Amino acid sequence: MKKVFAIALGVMTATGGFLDAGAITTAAAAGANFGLGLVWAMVLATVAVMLLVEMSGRLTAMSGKTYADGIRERFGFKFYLLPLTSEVVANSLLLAADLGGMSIALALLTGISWHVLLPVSAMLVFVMVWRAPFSLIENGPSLFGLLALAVVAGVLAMGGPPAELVPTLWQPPIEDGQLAEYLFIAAAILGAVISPYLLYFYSSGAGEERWSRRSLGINRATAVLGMGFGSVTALALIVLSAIVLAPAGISGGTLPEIGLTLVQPFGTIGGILFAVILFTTCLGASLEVVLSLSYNIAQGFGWEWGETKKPAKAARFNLLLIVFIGLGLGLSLLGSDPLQLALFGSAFTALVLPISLLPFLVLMNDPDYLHDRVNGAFGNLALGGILAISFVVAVVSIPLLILSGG
Amino acid sequence: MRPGGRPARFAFALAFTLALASVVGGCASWTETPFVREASDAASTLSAAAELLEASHTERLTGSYVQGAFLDLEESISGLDSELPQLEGRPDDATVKSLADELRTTVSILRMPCLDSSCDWQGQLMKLRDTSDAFTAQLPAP
Repeated sequence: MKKVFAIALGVMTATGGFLDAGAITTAAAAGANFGLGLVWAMVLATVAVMLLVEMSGRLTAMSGKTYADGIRERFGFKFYLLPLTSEVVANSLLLAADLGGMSIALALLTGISWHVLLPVSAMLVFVMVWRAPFSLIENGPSLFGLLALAVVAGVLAMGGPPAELVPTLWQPPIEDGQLAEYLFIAAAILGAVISPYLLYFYSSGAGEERWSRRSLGINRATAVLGMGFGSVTALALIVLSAIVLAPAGISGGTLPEIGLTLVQPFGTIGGILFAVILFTTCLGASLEVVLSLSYNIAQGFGWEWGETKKPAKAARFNLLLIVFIGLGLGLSLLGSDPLQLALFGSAFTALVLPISLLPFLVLMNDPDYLHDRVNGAFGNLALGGILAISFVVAVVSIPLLILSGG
Repeated sequence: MRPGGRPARFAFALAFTLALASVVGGCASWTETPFVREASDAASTLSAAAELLEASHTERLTGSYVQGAFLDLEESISGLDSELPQLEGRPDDATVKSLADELRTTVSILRMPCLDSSCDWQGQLMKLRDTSDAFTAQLPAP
């Protein structure tokens, strides 16, 4: 019974935690501008992230070591600096975007300027990482994030996709001059969903909860069912944006524009739901990003780490938490639009994806870490495919960002 | 250099991208001009503002939601009126001036939306829609 509860909780948190500022932005932009023409990118990204999450959890359960530990030990500290540096840059952008997303959600609920609310959002993230137990950080925002299933209800309330929208699934409506934007959003979806921070966080979380061989079932269920259900909300947002925003000539370039997707079917309740979903998903992502960054550095340098440890026991780890929240707040206060930051962050993540994913191929075939649970032929083939895609996405992401005008 | 090294991988990536682009794009050209991009964003923002204002007066949204949303929408188009005359791909000067003038009026609506019945919210709604349409008219026909 305890195991069933653990699986259910894992699946629910993965479902609720799937969306963040990057995923919301890219999904809405995809639907509003290209109908169902980018559903393939979301499905591809979901399958990839399912496989990678399962592998990162399996690595920790079988070896007792996190993904960051594994990279540092197997490839050396100098190599580890590569993914570490790229993660710090990409995740700082994403953290600033998520803090901005939280603030805009609060602005929609209160009518106060989101710039004024930025310090409030940062303080809330700080209080949670400093005081809250790991289980609350992991499960709290994600369980609230289940409200994102309202997007699925929104699609149903609007009567599902109209018949004329269905052909856009295989024949995307790309008008003259929109090709770069189409490909850029595809790359950004892959960057937003296959976020390496998720893998580092998931692996470190498995370490915090002392996963072992007996946790492999929970790991597989969380990865496949949680990410699978989670992607349903993102897919529903693509569909709802195509149904609601596109006919009104709205491209989903700002978060209030995206909020109209729930206002149309549910009115006032829909507006409040959108604000709450945006707030909780961005809060959950902010916590994951801050912790993931601090885990990466502490594990890389061999410092004492752990969210459950008293600050005095892991002083440098806790100092990192404060530094990164300050950095994220600083970037947000510079005045950049959170949605633009989310797009830049997703594009930069796409650029550095191969650096973070390449070590998987070696580690997942190393019996010193995985014992009898090394990757089989299918796992390696899938990982090879994901790496090939990540190389393509890395090569094209920044040129496309420039061509499409961001 | 062994086969399958970096140049080979780069060539593969480039070929894959170009192949994908030609399949999905057909004869579509790659990019829009900066003017078309900005005009499209402005039309979208103003159309969303109109939807929000109407929703608040038909009791489908709270005033504070619309207030918070308008602050963000205003930020996204503020300053565009002075950028328009410099953007590549812009129409003739008279059209640009007319668009910039209309935009200035609508930005002031976004700053001070009429959220109760004591002011002319329908006039604001019409202005938002008209300006959105004016920008949409500058976009290439689908």
